[in-house]
Amino acid sequence: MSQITLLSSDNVEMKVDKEVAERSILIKNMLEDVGETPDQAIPIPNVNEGVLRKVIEWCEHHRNDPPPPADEDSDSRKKSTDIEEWDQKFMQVDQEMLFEIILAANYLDIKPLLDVGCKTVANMIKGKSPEEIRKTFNIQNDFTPEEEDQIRRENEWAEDR
Amino acid sequence: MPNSPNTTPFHHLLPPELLSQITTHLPTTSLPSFLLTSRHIYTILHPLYLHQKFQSYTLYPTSNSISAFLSKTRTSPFYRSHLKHLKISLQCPQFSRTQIKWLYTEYIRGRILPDGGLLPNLQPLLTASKNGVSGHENCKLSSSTTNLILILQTLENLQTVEFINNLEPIPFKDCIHDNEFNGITISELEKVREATNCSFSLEDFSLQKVVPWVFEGLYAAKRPLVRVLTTLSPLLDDLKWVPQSKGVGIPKFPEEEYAIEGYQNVLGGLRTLEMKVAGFIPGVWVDEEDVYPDRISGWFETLKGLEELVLSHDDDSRGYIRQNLPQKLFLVYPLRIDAVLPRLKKLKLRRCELQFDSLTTFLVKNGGSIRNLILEENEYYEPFGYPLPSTKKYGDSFKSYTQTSFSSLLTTLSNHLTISYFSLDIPGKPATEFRTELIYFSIQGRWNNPATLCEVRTNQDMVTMSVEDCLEYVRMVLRDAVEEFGKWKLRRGMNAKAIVRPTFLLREILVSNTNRRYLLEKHL
Repeated sequence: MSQITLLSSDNVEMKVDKEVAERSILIKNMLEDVGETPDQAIPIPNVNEGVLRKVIEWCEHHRNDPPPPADEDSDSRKKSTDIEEWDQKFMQVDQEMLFEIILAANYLDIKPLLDVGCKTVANMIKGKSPEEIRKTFNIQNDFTPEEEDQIRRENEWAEDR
Repeated sequence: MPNSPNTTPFHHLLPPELLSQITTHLPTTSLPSFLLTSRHIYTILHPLYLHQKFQSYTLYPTSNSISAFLSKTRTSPFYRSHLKHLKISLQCPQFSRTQIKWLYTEYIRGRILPDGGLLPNLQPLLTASKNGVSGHENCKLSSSTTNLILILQTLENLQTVEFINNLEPIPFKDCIHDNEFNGITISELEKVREATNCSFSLEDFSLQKVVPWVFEGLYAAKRPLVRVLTTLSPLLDDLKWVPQSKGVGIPKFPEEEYAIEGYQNVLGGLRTLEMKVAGFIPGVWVDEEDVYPDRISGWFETLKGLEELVLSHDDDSRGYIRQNLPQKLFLVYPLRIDAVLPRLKKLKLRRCELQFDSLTTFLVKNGGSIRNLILEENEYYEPFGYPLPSTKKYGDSFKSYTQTSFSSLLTTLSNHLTISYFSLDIPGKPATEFRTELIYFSIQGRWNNPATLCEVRTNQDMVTMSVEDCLEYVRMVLRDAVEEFGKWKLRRGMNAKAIVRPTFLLREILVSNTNRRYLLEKHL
């Protein structure tokens, strides 16, 4: 099994199976462009060591998963609760790490991981009031009371069907 | 999942596209709360919310539903400016009061099976229906047409009208004016309906009557639309109402010249027509006295601007669009073989029963404009117009017949037409283990130069070869790849469902056979 080396943004090198690294479409395309296994480390400038280790852990676990269907309807509302048990545990991290994983999955083009991250956040939002959501995510309410009232009224109307 | 007080709020950490992506996993009802959390999130997501919330609407043919929607379009700009996809249900508007009361009483008595079984005794319901059909809740399609005109004229950005006709019940709030019937509340009725899992449709809503009405409604609205979709289900025999029930008549295609011109002016602007038919079409009969199909085909004659036509079986229910016609009238109902659609660029037929010679005739007649031909998972008839007996269907004669006919079709395409893209699913003899289903092999191609080259594409590979080689290739695939495909599927433990709509993994087949690998390599 050939291995490649990834270089995190804080200059830490990590050896990883090529097959595992290729869960990232970005890395896969880079390797295909190069044509052979590179001797030098591949820089991943947007991802620090801690996050990159987590991403690699996820890729290791999912190394044999089939590729996601290409024709998935992006408009359709997806169920946010259908997260595998292993992935649910994997995502039990503090919020900063959770968002870093989402950003890394987006940058590295690992769609299944991005989906798991987004579903996790969506589950944290679902069923909560605005105030509860603010509290959960440390969001400052910067609406004036009048603005908030107006938007509420607008949405009450919208929710009548 | 703790969040420290000093953590950067995620809505500043994540870019707008990722915030949007998170909301795709949220139910629509959770979006308003999320929007209200901060100005930043509201600014990013409000347009998306409006788009998702108001882009689609289902209208039921009842006075309640229509007046409520008209009222909304008057009081708020949202539907007017955002609605792009209007779904119009063509279902029976529900029970009359008498029927509902009867249903409820019978349910309480335990005479209706709570597991969704059929009603044990339809007679009281049928009797009640005679009184109920003329009730105010049973809106006639004709009055719905009037309202449809108003609605279509109001919606500024409407692009698609989809007509739905299935056996799903219409929500009670869209059916009735009062909140209760003789002491029975709506929530109780909903429980009854859910438990019995039944709804009712009138034969007024059968395909022969709905198709003309669709065109009639669009015509009356004087509003050329880009896209019209229909999903049409036949009625379940067990729940069919008496055929003589009152209701809308079949709008006859007008014979007067001025009327035909009027239709052409309006329907001539329609670009896309997509008709999904679910299940067997029970009423495609040809009556000497009263030829229903001819009435319908008249509307097709007015669709002179049609560029995309899709006729397909509803994917949700297994089967094919079947037509028991004693003579060759239709390519696939309701499209006549002799219909001429001068601007037709794309023709897609999916899960239809077809005759090769009819198809070839239609293609040659309309071949001057068709560039894109997609034939998916169809069943093919022998030239005399009757389906092959099941014993023959999977036998050598059918295999031989389809080989010859498909080759002939490809030759026709290459010699007479200007088709630049095609996708053909070729039916083959299934492996012994799967005798009940045909297996299809997809070949997609592009005739860059009809006489010399085409590209054959599978989901993974694309090869360029001459038409001659392509024909030989098709023959080879049909000859012996099917058995290997079956074995390949078996080795991987795939179930029969996977066989039904196999993705064409030609590459897998090719690498398992020396000769065919040679063929592939030769052209790569």
